[in-house]
Amino acid sequence: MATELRGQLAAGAATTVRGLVRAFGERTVLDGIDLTIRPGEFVALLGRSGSGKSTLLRILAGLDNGAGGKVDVPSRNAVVFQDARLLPWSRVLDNVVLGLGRSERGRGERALEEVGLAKHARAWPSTLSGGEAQRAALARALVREPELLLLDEPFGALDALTRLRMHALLRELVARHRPSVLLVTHDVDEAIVLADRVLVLTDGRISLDARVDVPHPRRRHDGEFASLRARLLAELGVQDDSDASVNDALASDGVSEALASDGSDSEPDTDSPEPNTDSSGPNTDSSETDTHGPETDTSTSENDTDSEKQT
Amino acid sequence: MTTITTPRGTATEESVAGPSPARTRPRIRGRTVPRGVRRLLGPLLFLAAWQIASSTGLLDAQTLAGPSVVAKTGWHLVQDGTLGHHLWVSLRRALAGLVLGVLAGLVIALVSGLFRLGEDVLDGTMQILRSIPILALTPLAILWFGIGEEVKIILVALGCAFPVYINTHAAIRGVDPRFAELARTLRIGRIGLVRRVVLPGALPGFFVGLRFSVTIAWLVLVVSEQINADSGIGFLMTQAREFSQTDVIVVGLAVYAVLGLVSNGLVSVVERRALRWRPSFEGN
Repeated sequence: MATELRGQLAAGAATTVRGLVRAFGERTVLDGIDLTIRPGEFVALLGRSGSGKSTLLRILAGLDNGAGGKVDVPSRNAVVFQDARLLPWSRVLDNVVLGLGRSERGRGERALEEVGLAKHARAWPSTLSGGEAQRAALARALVREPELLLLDEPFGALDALTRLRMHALLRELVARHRPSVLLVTHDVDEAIVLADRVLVLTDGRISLDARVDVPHPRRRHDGEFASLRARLLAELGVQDDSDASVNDALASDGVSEALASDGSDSEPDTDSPEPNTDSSGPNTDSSETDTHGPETDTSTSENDTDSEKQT
Repeated sequence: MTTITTPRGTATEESVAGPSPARTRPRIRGRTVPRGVRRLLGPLLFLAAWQIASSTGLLDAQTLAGPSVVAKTGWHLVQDGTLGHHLWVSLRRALAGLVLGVLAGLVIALVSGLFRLGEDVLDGTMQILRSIPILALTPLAILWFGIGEEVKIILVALGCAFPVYINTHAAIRGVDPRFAELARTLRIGRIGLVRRVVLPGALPGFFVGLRFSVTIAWLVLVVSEQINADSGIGFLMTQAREFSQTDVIVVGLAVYAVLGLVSNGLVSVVERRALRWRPSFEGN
């Protein structure tokens, strides 16, 4: 089991994954993943807790060498974790330019300016709020001009309002820097709002691969948004019964599937207490519900998923 | 608080709205006296009692000289240069031993903390050696190094090395692995990892060790100077014992106390400066 990690691809290179397998002991977390992320493409990866979505990201980030299969990742890639992971003993700017040459400090300052933290360049990380710390982490990733930006639930620990602001900021930054992005999240709305393409990881395989054609600005009450949302939630084994119009919207499908997804083989798996393979901490993935508003009640009711899956 | 009870309703309201008992207590007792001054009250009372006991003959000078005598003796020792000479000798020994010991502890901790092989070879040895009380080594140390300066410095150094080693090593091992992971994604290399992550992360632990070391340096010095020396504060006190000069002994004690306080304060200042990134750091 050895991953072929070839990093030397041309600028604006694609990320390709072929036949990726990762097992922890007896448990196969990733079971033959094939994935291509085109240059500049924003891909969101959804999955339930313990579905292996963070494992996939860690393999792409080069943090997990125990996988089998073929992985081609652009050499310039950067990771933003769920926790900002700023070194507490280095000032914000020093964190941003960590590992870069002394001459790059100007670029670091500009990156901080881009995320609205120019004034905090000399601050200690412990004085930043959660949102500010995560913005600094974004600046640290972007200052490296990554061809592939790996985001591991970067907004999972933020409050709903801050998260909305971060979405806007991320969209803006991605539009400017044009990296490929893989966003691992369990927030369906976040995935639809941000991504060009949404993947759902179920039982170690990509069970759904949908292009998001909803025009910007993407609003949750748009029909296309709602129908895609319902489909994704169904794929995740969650029934969304909060909005009656969702079922109507399902009929007028505004989503074109990029890749045929065989929904039938991914039977909603019973809530077996899976070991959490996400490394980001004990609290990661603790909640499958998103927190955008009172109307997004995604109470888990496994029994009803079959009716949702008919579409 | 309810002592004032007037027939009028307003007074009752006032007493209800008044400050809670917990808040009124310091106001009544120390309205104009700052807390620092109040804290001096205990030691001053103690000094006064001691002085009275000495003056009235309750405490005879053979047992313990009174504060005024001690102060006078201290002044004489300062004036004729005796105290200065012995103080300087003691300071030099303590400092030399401390520097040597801290450096040794630090180097061993780094080797053991950063290299798997280093840990396998060194850590077990250090853990065994540290269970030996350093002062129990004095007889051997005298046999090996005689009764000159070296033996005192070496004993102090030995005493100082272990706390620094133990705490620094534990701190290096305790650096958050998530930061090591981050270092990998930023590709800052092994040297970058050590310089930017491991060493700064282990610094708080090093300072914990350093504080212990400073205390131990004085402790070991006191003992080794009393056993075999012809100079130093410990020697001054041993000599005084032979002539039953309790005043000189107390002067020596006071000097040790001041030295301990000052050296701890210095470490605090350095520590506070080095660890100013810590949000709630309040060096004391």
